[in-house]
Amino acid sequence: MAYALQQLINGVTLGMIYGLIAVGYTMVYGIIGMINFAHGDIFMVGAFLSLIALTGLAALGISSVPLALAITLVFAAGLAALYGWTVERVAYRPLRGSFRLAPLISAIGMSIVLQNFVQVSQGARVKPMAALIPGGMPLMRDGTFTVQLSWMQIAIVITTLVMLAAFTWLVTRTPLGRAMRACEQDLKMAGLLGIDTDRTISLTFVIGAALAAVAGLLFLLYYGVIDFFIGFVAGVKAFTAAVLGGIGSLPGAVLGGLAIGLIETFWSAYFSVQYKDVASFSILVLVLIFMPTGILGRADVEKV
Amino acid sequence: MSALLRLSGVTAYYGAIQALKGVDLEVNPGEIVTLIGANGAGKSTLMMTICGNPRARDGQITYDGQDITAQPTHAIMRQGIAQSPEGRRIFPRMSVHENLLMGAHGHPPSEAEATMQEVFALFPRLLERLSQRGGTLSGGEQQMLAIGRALMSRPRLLLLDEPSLGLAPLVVRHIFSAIRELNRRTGLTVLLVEQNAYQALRLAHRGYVLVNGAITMAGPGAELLARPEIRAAYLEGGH
Repeated sequence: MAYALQQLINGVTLGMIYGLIAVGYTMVYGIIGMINFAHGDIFMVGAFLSLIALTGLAALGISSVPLALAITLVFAAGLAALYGWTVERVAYRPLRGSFRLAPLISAIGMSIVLQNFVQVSQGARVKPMAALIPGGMPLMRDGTFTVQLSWMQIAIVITTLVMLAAFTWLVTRTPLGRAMRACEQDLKMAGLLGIDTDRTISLTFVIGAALAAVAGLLFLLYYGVIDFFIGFVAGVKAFTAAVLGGIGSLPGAVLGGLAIGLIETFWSAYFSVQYKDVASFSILVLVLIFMPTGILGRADVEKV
Repeated sequence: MSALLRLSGVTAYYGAIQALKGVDLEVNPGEIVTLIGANGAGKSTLMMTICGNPRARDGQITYDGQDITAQPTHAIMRQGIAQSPEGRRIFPRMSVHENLLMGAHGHPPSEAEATMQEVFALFPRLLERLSQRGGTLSGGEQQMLAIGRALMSRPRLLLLDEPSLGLAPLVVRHIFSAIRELNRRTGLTVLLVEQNAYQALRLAHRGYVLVNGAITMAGPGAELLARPEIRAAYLEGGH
């Protein structure tokens, strides 16, 4: 019982990170109907930017952890947003109106470019980082097993919820969000209403990249090790989360992220760690067979 | 009088298919001009080409004395042109209210509220359906919403593509009388594309006939209505 509770806490934490990345996949899919395969690598770049910022701030002698984290968050999200904007501008926009697979292939290319760029510029070895927010609180004791809720996990869940709340507010309540939804529902009509659709698409990439960078920072803090390849695995998981939740649906992305996080954690805890990815993806296959539109997906989305 | 909208020698292509073959057309301020023609004649293409999507390949389009041929769609639409397009293109997962607000994109919220009241005066049905999703409206309501949304930007030139398509005669009459009232009261200039040639020519000051991407006839609405070839091609078999 206590063990299961511990897995639940771990699973939710992991799921939140997947959810943050999945939002970027689902947003871009919703608006231009493509899977941005470079999105996972933007997440990886965000993690590296966070590491660089934290190392730099430590070298500058900034010892206040909240301050350092706040600066890092802004720095990583801002620069990753620039990466996201550039990727769209360079690799996707010129191919708009081209055949369906062209931007997809281009996205895979961008993914490889980003991985190799980081591998060459930062080195291929795993980068460790000391825990910035150590400790936690014991929740429950069951014999020799103590359920721990770490401060880090609390920070991750709170940060994610704040980001998602801000993002939801942006999409549902602001003119920019309305323009994004208009582009998602009918790009041609949005243009006829005077919306600069290219700019709206750019902003979608920018926002998605910023969220992925926040996920990168959280990942770095949680696991304490990163390398240039983390974007691939996390990206595929988050993409799975987006599909599981119903691609194109924002709440679905978060829900899918939580589902993947929980499946993975519980499978590792009760069956085998080696097969955790098999478990996640098997569930994806089952969902796609029996609920092709995902948990919260709409049946009318037929873009691919 | 100088034209508000002038097309000269405009051609447009969809892929390799030439949809417009050198169209000359003028719309003067305060006029209702109708463009009639059979299915596939290029009427909707013409409307979209005015809005820069697809872009005209040859020829020139001027609006209010300015060359808009090469401008991007959103820039064209911000100069006082609005379109209620073919198929209405209501945002299905937005409420009626949000659909209308989209029409006023880039306008201050206070102005949008005031314009919305005018739209409600014209189409009270929209007020009743305010929080309903666009996709759940009936065809007639969607058409009113499409026109209302276009009016939200306070356009000088309204492009109306087949507002009567698929609607009951009573609803068509309501929509046409709304267009006439708008034109009389506010001086709104209208370019109306219609298959319902009889009603359109009765409503319009002038008309053009588009056949296979080219204008074959032009003249005052009443005059076109009286021509035997128009009667034979577009009017026989019911109004």
